[in-house]
Amino acid sequence: MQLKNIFVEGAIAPSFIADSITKHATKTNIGAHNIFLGQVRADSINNKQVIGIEYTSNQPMALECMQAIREQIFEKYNLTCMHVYHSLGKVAVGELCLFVFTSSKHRATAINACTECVEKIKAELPIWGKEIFEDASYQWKENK
Amino acid sequence: MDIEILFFGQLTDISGCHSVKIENPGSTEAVNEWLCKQYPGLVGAKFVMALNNQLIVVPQKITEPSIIACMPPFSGG
Repeated sequence: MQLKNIFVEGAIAPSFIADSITKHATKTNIGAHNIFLGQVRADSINNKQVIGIEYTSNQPMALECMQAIREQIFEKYNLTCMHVYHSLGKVAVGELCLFVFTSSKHRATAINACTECVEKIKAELPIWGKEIFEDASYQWKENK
Repeated sequence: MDIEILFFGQLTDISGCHSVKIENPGSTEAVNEWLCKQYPGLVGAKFVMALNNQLIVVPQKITEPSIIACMPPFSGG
């Protein structure tokens, strides 16, 4: 089975998100969309400013895990569709690194499915973020 | 028969590389022992291992050319 790719090199462009929304105009059985966007935050750690995050992944495993998450979500929620994109490589502060988009007939389904999907992505996908500081030093990100 | 060991995230700072090929030591436990001898920094480091993309929950024999991934806590999103 062909696994669906979720990875985007670099930041996720806002125009890509707009295009993705536009494409759903023909799916007239949808009554609700929910979108989660992850943005790289300018954290200050020990007086050093984060300027970006560099993402790496165990890609084949991540895509297999994402397929399993997708199946679990579709089994639990009556979704019309779900789209997931995650950045790889460098993403600057203020840019987008995660885009999760769920659609359904009614809002509760789309909202709850989106939230659960984001939590699973953070907990289960083998992806790592390296926080890069302005002096080119770094530390490995920890999810809270 | 060789197996390939992959390192991810902060583990690459310890191993100094992204992957290494070794003669198959026969089991996932033996791989773990080899790793701790070769890279003492891994002793006590927090990570999980996957054999051919499946998380290793109980020790397993390795009988075919395989990929072992060593993965620290995930931090995507």
